[in-house]
Amino acid sequence: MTVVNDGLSTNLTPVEHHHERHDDAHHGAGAKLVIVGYGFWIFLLSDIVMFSAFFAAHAVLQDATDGGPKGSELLSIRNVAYETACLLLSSFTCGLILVGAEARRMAWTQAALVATGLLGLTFLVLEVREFSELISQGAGPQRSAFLSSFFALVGCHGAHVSVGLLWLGTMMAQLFVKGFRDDILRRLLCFNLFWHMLDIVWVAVFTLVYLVGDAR
Amino acid sequence: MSQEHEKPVTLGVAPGLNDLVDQSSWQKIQTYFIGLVLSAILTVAAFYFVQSKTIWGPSIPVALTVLAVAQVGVHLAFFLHLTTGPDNVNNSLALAFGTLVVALVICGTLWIMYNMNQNMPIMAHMNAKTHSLDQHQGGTPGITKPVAAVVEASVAGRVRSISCDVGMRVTKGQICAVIEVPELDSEHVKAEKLQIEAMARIQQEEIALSEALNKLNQTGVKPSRKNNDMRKQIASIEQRIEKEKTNIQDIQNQLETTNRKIEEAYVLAPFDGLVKSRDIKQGDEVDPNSHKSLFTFIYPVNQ
Repeated sequence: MTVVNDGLSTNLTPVEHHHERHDDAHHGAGAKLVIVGYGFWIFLLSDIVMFSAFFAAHAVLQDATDGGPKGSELLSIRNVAYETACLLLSSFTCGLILVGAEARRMAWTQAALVATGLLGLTFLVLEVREFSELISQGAGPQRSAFLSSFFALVGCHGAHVSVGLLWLGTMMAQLFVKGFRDDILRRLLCFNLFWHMLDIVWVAVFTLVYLVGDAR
Repeated sequence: MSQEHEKPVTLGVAPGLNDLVDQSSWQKIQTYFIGLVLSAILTVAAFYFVQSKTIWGPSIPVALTVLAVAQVGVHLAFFLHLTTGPDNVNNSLALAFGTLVVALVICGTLWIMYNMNQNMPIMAHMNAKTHSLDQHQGGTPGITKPVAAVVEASVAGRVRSISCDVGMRVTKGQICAVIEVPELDSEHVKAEKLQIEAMARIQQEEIALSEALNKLNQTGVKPSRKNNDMRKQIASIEQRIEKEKTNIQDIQNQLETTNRKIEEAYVLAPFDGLVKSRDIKQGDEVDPNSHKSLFTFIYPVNQ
């Protein structure tokens, strides 16, 4: 096993390769992996802070329906259950991407990427269908402050998922062409973090927007 | 290399990576799978609580929040491999700081906005010396300027439609709701029908009258036997027309009463102002004897 092409091996290299690993962790790819991962972690946390502002706006405006429809009259619990299932499963397959990459198994990693992408796409289709249904009922974002905040919050999450899907496609191509290079592995790690973060935000969305909105 | 050199790495482990060195792929998959199962259980529980109504209604949001926090914890532990270990200190501290900012943003917003919502109507309320409608109609401007008015139902029936809502600016006489009184509507329709029938009868009689007058003219004005019969006929027609006319007068009176009642079934804004509260919704039964408020109106605070 060579040191150079060993991005994720800080956690994986067998014990007999200690000296290479030691250098690696201090100056090489391993150190860079930790720094990049940490930096991306900070970015994700600030993204969550931004989401929290949307959540706060929605919490404040959820009764400002201007005589229009309330959340409990509009939102389909069945649809959001399907969306949640898609995103939760995709979080699992997203974990498999990383396991595959750590084991340097190309077919496995790509298959996990495809599965994650398909589940994410299904989620997005369900969400777009829900939005267009609401708008065709006259319950678009212009109808009331409540609906503005709803579309802003859920739409912002949906936009993140769309960007995540683009990134995922790019990663598949890069992995296919360049193989398990250090930089590719770092990007895979960041993508992994991003996707898990989306699922965490979705937990808050389906709980606070859909379920609590329905129970009110 | 010694063990001391093995662990002085202060960078710790990258977020999202498992810090257990010796795990096989299979063990890692198991970790993700446990996370998936736990998350699925928590998700199903949340949806179940909302759908089944097995737990006390007002506690549902609290229960859901607890389940969501638990699920976020599961995601952090099993998907992002965040631990409390020393090599994870940087990641955990960043997360703790992020959580603090999120809590500040959300709690701060809710706190401030809740207070503002509380204060806005209360200010209008404290200025309100009276709550009676009479003081508004022709109330003298000046010392005791009335500020709020409660509007009650003046007829019994069912609320058919509502066109004013809380916070809306209204002008005096604007229709805010329409109350449906079924028997009143059928009475009105019946009276209208009677009126049309009576008018048709009058028309017929008038045609008959003009024909009779024509005939009388043709036979000449000189009194004769034939002539006399005709005069009698004309007199009786005129009598009948007279009777129908009084009949129509009655019908019109009746129509006016129902019209007045129908107008009472409109809930009107008593003055130019704001709707402070709406206490009815479409389909509600209202009754003037219950003295329940339908709407409360206030003058805009700055007025």
